[in-house]
Amino acid sequence: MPFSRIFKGTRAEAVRVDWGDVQVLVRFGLGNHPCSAFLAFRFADASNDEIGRWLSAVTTRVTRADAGTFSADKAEVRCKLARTPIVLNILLTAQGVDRLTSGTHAMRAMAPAFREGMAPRRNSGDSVARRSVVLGDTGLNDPQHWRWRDSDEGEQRIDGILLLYATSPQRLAELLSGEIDHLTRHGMRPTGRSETSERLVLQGKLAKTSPEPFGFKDGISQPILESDWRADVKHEALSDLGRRAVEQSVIRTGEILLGYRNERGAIAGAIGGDLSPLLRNGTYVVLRELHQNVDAFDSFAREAAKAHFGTDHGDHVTWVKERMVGRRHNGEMLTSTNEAPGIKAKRGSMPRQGTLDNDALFHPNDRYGLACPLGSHIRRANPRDSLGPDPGTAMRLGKLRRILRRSRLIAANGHSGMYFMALNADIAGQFEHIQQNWINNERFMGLAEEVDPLSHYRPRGKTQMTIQHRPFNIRLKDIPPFVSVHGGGYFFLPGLAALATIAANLSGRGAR
Amino acid sequence: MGPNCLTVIVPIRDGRAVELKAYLKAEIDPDYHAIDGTLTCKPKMPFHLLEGLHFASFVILDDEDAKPARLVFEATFDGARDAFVNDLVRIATEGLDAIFSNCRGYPATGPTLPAAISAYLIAHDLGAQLMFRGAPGRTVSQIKREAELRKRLKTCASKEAVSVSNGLSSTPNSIGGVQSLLQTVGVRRDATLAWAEDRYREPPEITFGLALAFVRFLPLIAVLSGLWWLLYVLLLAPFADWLTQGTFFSQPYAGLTEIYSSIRAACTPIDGQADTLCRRVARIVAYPLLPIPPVALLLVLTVLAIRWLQHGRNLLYVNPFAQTRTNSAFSNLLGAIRYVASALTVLVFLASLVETPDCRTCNASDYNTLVLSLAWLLRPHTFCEPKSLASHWSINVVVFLTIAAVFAILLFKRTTISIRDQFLADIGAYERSSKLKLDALRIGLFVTGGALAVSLVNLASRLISANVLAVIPPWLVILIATCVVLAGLSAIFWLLVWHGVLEFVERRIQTGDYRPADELLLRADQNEGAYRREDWGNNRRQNQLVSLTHLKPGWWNYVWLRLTLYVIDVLGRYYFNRGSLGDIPTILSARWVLIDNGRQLLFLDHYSGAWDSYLSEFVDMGAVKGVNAIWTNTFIKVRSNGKDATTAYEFPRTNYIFWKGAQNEPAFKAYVRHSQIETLVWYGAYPDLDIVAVNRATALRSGLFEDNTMDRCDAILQDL
Repeated sequence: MPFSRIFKGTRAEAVRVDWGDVQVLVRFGLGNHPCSAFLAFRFADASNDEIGRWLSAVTTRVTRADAGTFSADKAEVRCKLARTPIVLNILLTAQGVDRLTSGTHAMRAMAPAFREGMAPRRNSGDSVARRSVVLGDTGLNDPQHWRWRDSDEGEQRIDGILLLYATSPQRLAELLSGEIDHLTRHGMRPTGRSETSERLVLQGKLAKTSPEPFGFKDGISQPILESDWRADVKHEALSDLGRRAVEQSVIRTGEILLGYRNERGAIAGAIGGDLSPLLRNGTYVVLRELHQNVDAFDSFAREAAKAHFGTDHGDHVTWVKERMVGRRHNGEMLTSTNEAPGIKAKRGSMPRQGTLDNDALFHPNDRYGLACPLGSHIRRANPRDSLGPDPGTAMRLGKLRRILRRSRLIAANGHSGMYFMALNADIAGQFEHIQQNWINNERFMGLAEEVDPLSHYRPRGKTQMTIQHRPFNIRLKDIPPFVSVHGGGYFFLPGLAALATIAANLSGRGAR
Repeated sequence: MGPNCLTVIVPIRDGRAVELKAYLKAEIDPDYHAIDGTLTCKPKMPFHLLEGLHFASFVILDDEDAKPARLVFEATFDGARDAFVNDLVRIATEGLDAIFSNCRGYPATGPTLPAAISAYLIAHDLGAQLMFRGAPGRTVSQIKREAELRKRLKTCASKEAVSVSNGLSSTPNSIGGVQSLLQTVGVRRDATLAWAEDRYREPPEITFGLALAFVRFLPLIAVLSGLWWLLYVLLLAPFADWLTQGTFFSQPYAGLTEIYSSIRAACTPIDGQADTLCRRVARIVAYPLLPIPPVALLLVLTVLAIRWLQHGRNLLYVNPFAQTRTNSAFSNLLGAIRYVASALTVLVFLASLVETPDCRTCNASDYNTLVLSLAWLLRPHTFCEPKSLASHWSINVVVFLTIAAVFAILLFKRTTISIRDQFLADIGAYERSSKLKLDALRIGLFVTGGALAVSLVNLASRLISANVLAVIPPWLVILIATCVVLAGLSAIFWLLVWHGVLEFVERRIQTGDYRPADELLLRADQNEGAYRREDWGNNRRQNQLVSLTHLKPGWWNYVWLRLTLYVIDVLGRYYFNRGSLGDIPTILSARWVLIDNGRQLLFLDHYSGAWDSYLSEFVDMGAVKGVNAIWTNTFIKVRSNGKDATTAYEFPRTNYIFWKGAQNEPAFKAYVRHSQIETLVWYGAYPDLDIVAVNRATALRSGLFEDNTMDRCDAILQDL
């Protein structure tokens, strides 16, 4: 009957995620494991059989998302990872998946952006690859200058990355050397030149113990998966505004995990309703090595303060920096009406990320950017409910673009910066969308001729930023680039069942 | 309302397509400079010399089956077509000759007779079935100089900001002071900017919107209302016949007997006067002019309230324009209102039958006592005087206004929920009142329009009743009445009819054997060449999307598509004329052209921003309904690599035409990708602007010299 087809409810069904099949990174930021190393490897000329055996062994070592508990009491959603001293997760590049599933059509079901990679080869005659323009990786940030790429060949080839986390540096070192042993024993190699035994190991540390290099707290405003947003949180206790403020962070599971319904109501990763078993409980990971030029940032802020206030007194410099980021150094949002009644009601009755007042909505509080500038970094990276005239629509659209960040600071000496890591189910629709249409969009929110002041890269080199102010807006001019890209790739974070299946198939093929 | 469009499509001579393609790319396509965002035209085709040219492009449609390859030249320009073509031919005779000499039917005289080239182009102009303009009514020069003015004012404002913060000058102490400062510093000091003070008059289509459309389409509306009335009265009779003759309602339904007797009472002569059949029929059929009885009003309000509660989320599914609950402006509830209005119509009819039209024929049954007391409360004068036409009308107006007020209250209630969420106390009051004003205006328009439509229907029905219905026997009249009563009892009936029609149409248009669009995702080749210009290279800020799709066979498809394009064209002219088409704010200029005798749909679209986000807007905004309605009956032919054989893939399946379809986002994007055709030549007169900037610049220019309120002035400062 047509009637039922029309009125069929789209009420979200209870989503149950088999967390035992998911790698731990999807659910936990691993706050108790501040030391990390990302070990890139290549299969080299190991036989299918060897790879299969190694892979099935790795699969047993991979830390699963059910290792911790995710509890939602009346106040907040808490995640606790049981005290495992070490954590291991595995990422694969398109080359790696291709190698592991060669001879099958498994690759065809993967997202085109992933198949192409973050640093694809240029077409002949083009000065730059299309994807690099989408991402803003041109000029000095062009992938050809990078230290590592997902499309590298030869000894630099990356088939996958082992993500190693530990509670202490000693534990990490043990874990790292152990994994390298495992690799070489099965005929595989860590990525890097063999003659100099220079390996591609990205040593990281956690942002929570130290602020990110520019001096701001990072990793705030993570989305909450609907499957973790339990019904027993006291929704009634929240005011309308409070509930909306919290729910802005709740996204449907399929936005991050493949195989579940996403915000559009479709099964993420499925083609025509069929989901490749390879994709189930997996997700795509964006990894970029970003270097931050702290000196340039500081001196620019000083110059700007001087130009606008006639003084480079610390408060004024901080004022400029905070307007560029959109937060205070401690991570608080720049809102002028935090104490308004609607906001107050939610206090203590909702999940907080950290202890900061982070859940304010832009549309009711700061629509015109007078507190937190429209073009500031956090507003460009997550405009919440402010993009467009209708906040409801803006919020709905914004939820299509959320990413789960798992960044780590660069621990190697010499560089300050971060290994930016983002998890999303649709690279083109989430990470690339943010990068292209928000961060690097010259006309974001009706602004003109300006891109993200913090992490921009423009062909012309410099950008400007408008700080909304009355009677006249303040304009920061000639902002040089502060962040440069030195490596990156798109990866796949497979589910454990998928890994086991791949391993079994490989061994089977090898034996035949 | 400009700008106008030209779409020349000519077949290319055999074997010349490849050569022509190379020529267009090398000799005609303007060079784009990424750094300063400007275009330099080639000497053979100096587009920039044409003052009124907004956009122009060349595309080649590949040959397929027995059809030759075709060259498409499209232009968007100000002013008259013939004058534009003559200018074009005058400045680029050589280039046009080099291009079109590869095409069939090109005049042999060539460049020696430019008039012949003009005539050739004009003869092959297909125009457009649907043309959308991002900035209607504005010429190229206006757009350019307003953008310059905006840039200039921005610079002035930031200079002022610096001098204020450095203490070099003091802040003007009033809004008027700020405004006059901007006027002086920004405009008046420069004599060349004197034009900015002239008042810009926007086209009446923008100012009056759908009200103007209503006036212009009045004859059409009258005819359609008449037809609808005929359908309403005549086609339902057999259905009612079947319902009443069947056993289902005959015995156990005691209320029906009462209704029959009421109808009989209604048809008996008053005051012993001999009543003609004609008068009786007229009284029933011409119900909209009869005063709406209180019972009807009560019923209507009950139904309204029930439906409103029931609808909640669902009414948004009924209505093609809404997507979320919070997006609940009046215009987004039109679907629900249409629905309630049809319920209202039948209920009014029902009640006007149940109640006897004159109190003097009433008996004292309990039922009628209730009715009478209510009726007396509402309109005591009807008990004293025979009803004149004028009093009927005035009562109707009162009733309409009451219903409108109820609508307004419900609507207000509904929107306030989200308003309370969205706004804090200080700005909340302002938002509420402005939203209320806006909605009141829309409701006013709707009620006025509704009342006019009803009187038209009434006029038509009176004519019909006088001339045609007079020959219908009383039993048929009773049947019709019964049928309408039954329909009124279940408003869902209308929903079913509506969706039944959609279902029927959809079944008819979605026939044939095609591969689902989802399979396109599995294809390794992504039609790379077609989108090489996007996001970088030539079209960094403005892009062109050219898509060619085939219509599925059958005249139904053609009729449906023509109708859809026509409706959207009218909407685009009168409603979506402020820079966004169904919430999509990125289209600069778009056209839909039916070619190949209506078997192919060519979509030529200039937009700003990135392809992926642009397509996402199609998927996620209200416009998805329009996208589905247009493309639901299309398919594309995809040539496999290195083979001549093609596979046909259909547009993602729609549900009742308007739903699903493009909402299958990955499949939809793959479908568009594969339907895309490479743009060979692209010219834009203002390649660094997008439509938001164009409209903001116009608003800024006209706002600057008006007497502004606080918030208008604030909007100006916000933009600087």
